[in-house]
Amino acid sequence: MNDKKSWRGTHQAWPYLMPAMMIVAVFGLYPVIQAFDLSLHVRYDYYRNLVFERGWDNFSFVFQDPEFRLALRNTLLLIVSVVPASMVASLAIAYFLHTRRLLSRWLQPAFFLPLVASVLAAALAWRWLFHTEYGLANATFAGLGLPAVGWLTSPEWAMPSLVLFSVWHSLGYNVLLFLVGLQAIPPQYDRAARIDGASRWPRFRRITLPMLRRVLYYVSIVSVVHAFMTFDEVFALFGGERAGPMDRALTVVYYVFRKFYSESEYGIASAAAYAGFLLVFALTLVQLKMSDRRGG
Amino acid sequence: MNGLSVAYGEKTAVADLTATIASGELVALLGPSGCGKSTTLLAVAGLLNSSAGSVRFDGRIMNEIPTEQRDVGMVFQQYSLYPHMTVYDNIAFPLTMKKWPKSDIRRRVDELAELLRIGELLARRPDRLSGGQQQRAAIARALAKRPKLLLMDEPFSHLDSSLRLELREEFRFLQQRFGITTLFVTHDQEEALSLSDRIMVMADGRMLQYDTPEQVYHRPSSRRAAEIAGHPPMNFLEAEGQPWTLGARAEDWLMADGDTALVRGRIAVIEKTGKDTLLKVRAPSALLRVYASAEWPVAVGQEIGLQIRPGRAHWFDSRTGSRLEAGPELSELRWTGA
Repeated sequence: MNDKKSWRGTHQAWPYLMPAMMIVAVFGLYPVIQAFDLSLHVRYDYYRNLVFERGWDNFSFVFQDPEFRLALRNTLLLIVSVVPASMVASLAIAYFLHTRRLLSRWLQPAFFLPLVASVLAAALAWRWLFHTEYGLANATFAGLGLPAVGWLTSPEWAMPSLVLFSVWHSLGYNVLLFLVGLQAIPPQYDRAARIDGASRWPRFRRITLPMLRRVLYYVSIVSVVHAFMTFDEVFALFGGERAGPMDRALTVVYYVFRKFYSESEYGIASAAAYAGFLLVFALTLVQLKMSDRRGG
Repeated sequence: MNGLSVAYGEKTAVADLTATIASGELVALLGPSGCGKSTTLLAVAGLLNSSAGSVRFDGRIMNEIPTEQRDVGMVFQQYSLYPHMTVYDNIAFPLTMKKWPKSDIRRRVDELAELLRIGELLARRPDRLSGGQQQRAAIARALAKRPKLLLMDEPFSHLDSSLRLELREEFRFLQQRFGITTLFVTHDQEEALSLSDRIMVMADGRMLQYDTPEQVYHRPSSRRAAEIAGHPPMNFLEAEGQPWTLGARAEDWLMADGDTALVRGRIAVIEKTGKDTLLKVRAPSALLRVYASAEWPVAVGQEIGLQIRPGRAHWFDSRTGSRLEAGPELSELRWTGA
């Protein structure tokens, strides 16, 4: 702690670091390298681990594949819609729970339900909500005098349904994080702001929000990564046969899954995974830069 | 400000408090920890709801007025400067909330920063300030909107003693210059006595006395009030079968010969604190704290006879603790223990 950086000190650290490094190397680094190598396999025998030709063909195929482009577009759409919607909604809920303690004791479990329910169970419930003939969603629409919608059956509603479900499913975790963040802010600042004549909204905007900055940043990163990973939501919501009607809810990870498991295109699957990874990596870097500039 | 009464229901933190603070006065709320001082302050600020009674500013009942609209300033015990804002933005915050024009805010902040000598620190964040600087910034923020009433919760207790004295004096100067009506909480009797126009002595959620520092010191309303105000604590002598308790402060004793002495005892400890010499005298069933004059020949273990200065004895009802206007003739009393 008080030592300066030195080679001797660094070498002394190795034995202590080794166990953890081994685990990282075996379960983290090796698969990543292996997958990259796999993405370069053009002609190969996967089962006998023989490679006849390496090259960038898989990448060029992926970028020209209209299916992958759709998957990429959908994934980006999920990121730009689910992340802000979920953050705003969960922050609002967390703030509500935080400021109304008495009421929140009864409501809290409801908001944490998405967190503890498995995606499959939740999707089952939502399949009923979204049911064209018997679902609550369409019943509500009918009550408002709106025409019935094929939430899960019409191609143009596939993505909106997926967005809705994803937002709901991410609420529990985000509400929890925001609630913890809000409770970590000492109440004295809110008191001081009230003395200083700030009413509810300015207090939230000028005091609470800036003090939540770290949590906001963390939640945004995790949400982006999670939105990028969207797969099980699609799989469970649309029944696992296809990625929604006419494949309209196809995501990058779903694409990877299908290439790998259904079509046994291991090289293409790896290339797609890498392409997607680079995308999220770039996005996260942008987020990092932005938070740095604001003095994160 | 005109009449202030706060009371709480069932579980009373502060009970049935009634007092009026005159405009421009500096009033200290003095009492031991947990006596309800801070609760009273928060209720005046509107940060706590009172269960009974009312708070009035200039005759107007404030109970239903939210804190935001009460036009009070407050200096918190932990200063509570907004950590994500610069000192400038902290001081400007109450004015920003009032939607003042930028140039007016600038002028007011600069004026306060100069008065409190924090002009060079305006661009800094609070965590880059020392305790004293934070305190000045907090006072500047509280004064920025020229509040009708300034509330301070143990404002000087976290500072080291020399800084505390300095800031106290500065604050008193500012308070008098602007004529800011101020209510401040302290457990430091010396702070209350030296700084304030009036002192509200509190214990167990009740007000014991509300008077000028002179009156509080020289005519405590009860034995409990006498214990709270004044250090070292007042000496009490109780005599069995008597309806009174006799009290005398440490500085109110004279050395006396055998036949005129009220009490005789043996000097147990001699504490020299610079200009003063404090004796702890072991008398029958009491330990007396007495300031010795320079000419007293004192040594540990020595026997000493003591008498209370004329007119400086306090008499309290031995049962209720309330002040009695008169007691027996001192010169005829010989105290030999309870």
